[in-house]
Amino acid sequence: MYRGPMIRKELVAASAEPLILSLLAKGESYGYAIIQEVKARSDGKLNWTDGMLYPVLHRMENKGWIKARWAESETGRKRKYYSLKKDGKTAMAKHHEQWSLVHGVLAGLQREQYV
Amino acid sequence: MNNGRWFTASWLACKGNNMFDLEQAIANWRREMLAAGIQTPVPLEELESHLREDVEQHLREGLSAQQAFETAVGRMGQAGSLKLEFKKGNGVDKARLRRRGIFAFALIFVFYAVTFVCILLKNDLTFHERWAGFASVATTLLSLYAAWQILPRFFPVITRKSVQSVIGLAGGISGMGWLFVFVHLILPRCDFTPGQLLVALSWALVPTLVLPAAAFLALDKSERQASASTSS
Repeated sequence: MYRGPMIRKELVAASAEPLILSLLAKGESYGYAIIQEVKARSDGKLNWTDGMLYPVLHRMENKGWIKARWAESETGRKRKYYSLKKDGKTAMAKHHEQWSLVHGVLAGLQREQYV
Repeated sequence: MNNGRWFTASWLACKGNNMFDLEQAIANWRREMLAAGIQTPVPLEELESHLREDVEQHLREGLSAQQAFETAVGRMGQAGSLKLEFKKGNGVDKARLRRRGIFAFALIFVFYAVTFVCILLKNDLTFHERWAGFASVATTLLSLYAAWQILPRFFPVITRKSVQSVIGLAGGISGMGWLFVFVHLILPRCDFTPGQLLVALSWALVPTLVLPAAAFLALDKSERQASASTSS
């Protein structure tokens, strides 16, 4: 089945923070689950190198956007769960605003091509 | 960090089929990560937890232990690249520094307010001197509140570190400079009673305390706005 091209790595990198913030806005989560959800939602086209997620998460934690806690999963494994903080919600709103703007401009230009 | 019971059971099941030792392979992977400079305990423990979870998933999908491990390691990325990525975010823990800065300023101002109010109450001052002293403490606290709530609304977002440093230094130097001028140039020319001296000193401390705090708060807000808007 044709699934379209993979997303370019620059775009993958740029979209990491807004995607993580938006996923965490839905509730607490951990690295593996975040990667799986992004993969599922993008039909496998947003392909993160798994290890690269953690530096981004740590960076966001340092910025005060998210907080983390270690807890035990149902299988007994320790997992680090992340959740959104107030500053993270603000950052997410700004990201959404910027991405909507870019999307709006692109969509507008695309429509003009077909007029 | 072998805390996955299911994983251990799967590994034992696989071990009979081939001689690949998953625990040994993970221990080797850990050593490679440590050698590359991935810090322990937090980042490495977290990466290992992820690796084990991914290996479990691949085992469920029917891969052999070796294939599952190799696939998971491949998806995890090279140790050197990971180290570089972690390094980008580990320069300064800005949120922690900010919390400490705010806490330090809060402590200084609480100490200042309590100390001065006690001094004003205990010393033998006239009614007007005492209330002039209270007014100076109130002015300091109100100015700080204004600097915290109002100043950042009008303060531009400054991203250049050199400009930020200049503003921070200007705030600190102007506050201390004013105190120096007051103590060395103004006070010697005035003939104050002890009560008047105390009141004059309390008013002189207003800019000394407010100017550095205002610079810090304005820069903090600017930094946070810049961080939020240029985060990616």
